[in-house]
Amino acid sequence: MEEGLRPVCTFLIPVVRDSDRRPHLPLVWRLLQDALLRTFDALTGPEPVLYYRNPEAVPGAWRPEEGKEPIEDLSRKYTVAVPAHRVDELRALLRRAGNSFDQRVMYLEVGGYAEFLEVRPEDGFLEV
Amino acid sequence: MKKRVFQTITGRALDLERLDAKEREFLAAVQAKYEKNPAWSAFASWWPKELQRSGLSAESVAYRICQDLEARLGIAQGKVAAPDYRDYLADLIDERHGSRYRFCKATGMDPGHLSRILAGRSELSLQTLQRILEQLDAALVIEPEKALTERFSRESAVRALAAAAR
Repeated sequence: MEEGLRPVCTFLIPVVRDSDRRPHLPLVWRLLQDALLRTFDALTGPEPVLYYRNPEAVPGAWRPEEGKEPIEDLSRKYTVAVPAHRVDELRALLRRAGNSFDQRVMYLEVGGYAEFLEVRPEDGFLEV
Repeated sequence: MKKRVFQTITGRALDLERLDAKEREFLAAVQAKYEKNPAWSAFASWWPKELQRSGLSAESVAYRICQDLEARLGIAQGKVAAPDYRDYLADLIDERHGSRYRFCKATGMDPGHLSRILAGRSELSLQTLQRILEQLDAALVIEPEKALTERFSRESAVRALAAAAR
């Protein structure tokens, strides 16, 4: 991509934790906003969306137990435009967010292309 | 005379004495919006744009106030959990040390362990909590739930906002 282009990146944050389906603490929402601001100078707010998360559509990321129904989640949708050469930083930030928000996979769209980011413990966490 | 402050859900006092005219005007607009009890995400989407439109930055105390107001709405609307000890701890670390890294360096605490605790992936033992509280010059207080609920209610924020916008 050309220098100076800023692909529009959209990502979703489910409003409940994967493990216990409980809502997140105020702390993690604040840390996400602070991290976006600190990293990209992006002061952004979310939009609510209903994201139909079909586990089978996540290639190799995580598999639910056999016979489990797909999960419907209310998610917050964030849109940020970041320089093309910094999209990897956004991916890294989202992986950290994935650990802080207790998610196994994070959904990201970059310039209209969907990605499913697998979240690993070694990716770290959003920091105070 | 009592100093005017905005008290966050974790009890942190944000100084309202030094608000400039731009901040006061912005907080008056926030107050008008907030009194209508907007949906959590609608408010979350609105205030950052409004903050920027007002020419204010995230350095302004108004940024922290809005984050706090957003959290209260989320709690009231069942979309956000009520704050637990992790919220208090993170706020104290931020206030006293500025970052998790600096706090861990000063206390010798393992940063990875602290991160796992703050993310709800691990729990603190009472002994570790006591050690951390000593470092932060803080104390553990057991309060009736009603008092806490009142502290992070939307209504108490509306009252504090009214004082801020004056």
